[in-house]
Amino acid sequence: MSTNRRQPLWLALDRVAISFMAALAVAIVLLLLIGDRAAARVRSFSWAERQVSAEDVAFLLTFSRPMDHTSVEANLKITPPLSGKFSWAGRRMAYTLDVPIPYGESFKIALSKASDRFIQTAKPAQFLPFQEQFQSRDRAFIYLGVAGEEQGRLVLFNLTQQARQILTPSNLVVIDFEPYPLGDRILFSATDLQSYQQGLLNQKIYTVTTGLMPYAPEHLGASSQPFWQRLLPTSAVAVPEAGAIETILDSDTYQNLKFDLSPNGQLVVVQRVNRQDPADFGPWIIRPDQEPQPLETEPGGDFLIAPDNQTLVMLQGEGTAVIPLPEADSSQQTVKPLEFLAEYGRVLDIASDGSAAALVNFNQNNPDQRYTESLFLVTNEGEEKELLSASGEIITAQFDPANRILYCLATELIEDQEYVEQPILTSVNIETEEIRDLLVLPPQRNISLSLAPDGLAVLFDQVVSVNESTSTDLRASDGSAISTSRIWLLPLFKTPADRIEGMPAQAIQPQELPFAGIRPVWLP
Amino acid sequence: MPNQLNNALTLFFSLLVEAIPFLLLGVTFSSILLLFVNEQRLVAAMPRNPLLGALAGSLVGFLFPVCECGNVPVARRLLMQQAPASVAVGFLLAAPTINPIVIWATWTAFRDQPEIVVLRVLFSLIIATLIGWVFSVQKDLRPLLQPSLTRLMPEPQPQLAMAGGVSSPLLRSGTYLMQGSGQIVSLEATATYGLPLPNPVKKPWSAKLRLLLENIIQEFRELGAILVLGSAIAAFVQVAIPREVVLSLGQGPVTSIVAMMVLAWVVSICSTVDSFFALSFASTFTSGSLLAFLVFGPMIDLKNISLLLTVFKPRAILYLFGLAAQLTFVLTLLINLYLG
Repeated sequence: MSTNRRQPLWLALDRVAISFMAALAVAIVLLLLIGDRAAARVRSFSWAERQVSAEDVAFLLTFSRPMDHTSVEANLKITPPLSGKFSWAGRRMAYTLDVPIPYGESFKIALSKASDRFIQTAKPAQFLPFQEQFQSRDRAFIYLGVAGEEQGRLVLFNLTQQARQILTPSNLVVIDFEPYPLGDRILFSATDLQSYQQGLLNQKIYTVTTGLMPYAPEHLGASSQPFWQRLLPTSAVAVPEAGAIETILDSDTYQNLKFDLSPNGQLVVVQRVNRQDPADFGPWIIRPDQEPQPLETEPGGDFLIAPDNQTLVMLQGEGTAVIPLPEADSSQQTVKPLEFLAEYGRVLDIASDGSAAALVNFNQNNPDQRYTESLFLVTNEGEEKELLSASGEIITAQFDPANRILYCLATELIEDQEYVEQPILTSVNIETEEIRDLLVLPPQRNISLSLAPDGLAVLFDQVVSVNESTSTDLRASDGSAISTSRIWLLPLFKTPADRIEGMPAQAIQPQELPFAGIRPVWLP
Repeated sequence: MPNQLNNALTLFFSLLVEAIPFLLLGVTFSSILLLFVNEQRLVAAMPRNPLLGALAGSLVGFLFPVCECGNVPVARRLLMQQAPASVAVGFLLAAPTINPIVIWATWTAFRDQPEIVVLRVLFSLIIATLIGWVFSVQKDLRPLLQPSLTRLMPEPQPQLAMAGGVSSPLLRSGTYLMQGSGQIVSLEATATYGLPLPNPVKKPWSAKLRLLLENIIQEFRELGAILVLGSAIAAFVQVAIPREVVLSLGQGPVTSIVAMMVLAWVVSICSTVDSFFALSFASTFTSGSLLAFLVFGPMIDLKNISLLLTVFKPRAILYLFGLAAQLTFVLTLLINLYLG
């Protein structure tokens, strides 16, 4: 019966739906007549209130709508200025710095006016002025104290805040150290004072906090935080107290000889030897919250973890082997070298982007160059070029943060004196191969060099050794006792333009820092 | 020209690669839940208050994660099982958007603009609830439904009986009709969608699994084809139409919304994957217009109008379409004018 029933022409739904639609039509007309345009604005700035390091090469500005590129580029102001390049992807703008950010400074970024891409419409839309601040990390370095209560202890010197602080306790004699990538902790090896005085090798490996905790920007390209975390307010991480010690590796069954920390701070490789069985000798891998695991490979010498954190470059036999590091959860620890560079006896540094390495050739196969050493650049495409040769020793070399310049410390034999080597600091421009001698240092046996993370200065030490020594003295790397040591700071550039050109200055006088120490190392 | 073809192919494949996992997931979920959720119990549990009913209907999508291609059969079944109009219409409009898979897919695509995700859900809920409410004024929906459907529906119950336990005896009669009468079988042939399925929840496991697999394959084939077509259109639109034209369309607060609504209507892309499609316009179109695309597209589009015609008479579809379009336009225009 339902289908045959007569239906009214207008149903309840018709009346309600049509009147609702009419009302909506009126609302639309009113909106179109009186509606205003919201102002365009900056939605997010990836460095807002953050502490930026040399690793952070670019920041992102995200706008609320697509912007007119030229108006933004013309009006964006950073004080003090940071030169860089703009690039756009939709409503996001990236600004890539030409050179790493100088440390120890505060910056303001402002965009007072800009127009969006909708300028064709009748009413020009406003722009909500944007202003934010960010800092670069503090300029700070650590060194091994040699005098007074600092002797044998790690000391942190913060140049930005002009503060000096002893990090390690007096009962530990620090042998070697390396900072973690955030500069919040230092990995170090140390022997207790008693064993040290008895001449025993008993190094354990520890970490110590520096009391610094930079509020670093999120890594570009890193996977975004989950949704719920983004909705929570973000705040700076609590800064831990300086000087908190944690033991990483004991020395009960094995002696720890040398270690290296991976550039991402997630992995330590330690050269260890069994106290009972000296043939049981080789590198071990230590990962956080995991048991140390031996890496089964040929016995080798000096080593370095590559910037990819996945390969170990190690001196084996007469050359240098490139060894893959097993995955964190892999049970298989036996590894075969990926590559063997027979010509090279030492790896000094690897470019931060992994594109090239600085290696030393001892020139064994070349009778004309016997007893000289050559610094080679080997790229990941297999290109090898000799950058310089030294009649003495090539002590160290470091790539600048942009991987354009290689700073090299080498010694030259002084002609009229037998067996006296003079250290010279040189810079080599990797593209042009132009060599500049930056500083000639007084002859000395032990010297170390550290390039600032922003590439603006180097630190080096000048050790005064004595021949007569007591057991309490600190010893340099060649075993001679240290009586005192100065630390020098050498600025590398005179003008910002030189910095962008990559032309270090040749006649800058180094400044002596007012305390005694050896092996200064900048915090990243 | 070969360069443009290359670009179009790259766009086409990247859209497909991004979208297919979500489509597979959507199809699988919808099939599983179709077989394991007892619709009659669900309908009986729905509130009878028109506004609450519409809201509840809109939220039912959480149990039936189906895109707009799958929601029409389900809404049809709901109507046949005496669900109030507000519930059925609320479900019809909101289910393609208000479900975990679509929300997740939208979140994956619009990680950088979380407000798009939130507003998409919010606007879909508002619009579906309002339209559901409007439809609830019609106590007897049958004059607005297709005769093929009304013939399967039992007579409307007096108000008192409606409130009580409706489902089981009536449903059994429906099932019986379907299985027993030759007349019904012929009806079925004219409308492939919306078979009044006998309740699959009560079937044995082996049959359930077979049904599940069949349903997955069938839905994936149908929807996959539409997805391929949609991706091709999207890739073509972006390569063939000069960028200046697209940009000038996409930048006005009003024209961009209209353009995106027309696009949503024409492209008829499935709601599980439409966020990836919209994402390709994110850099050039206003936020409001992206939202318009994401809210309006799943409700009414060219493809599902043909499906809707198996349920509603054209007049009812016109109301659905008109109200959804106007509400979407008003809400997204507000975003463009005051927030975006």
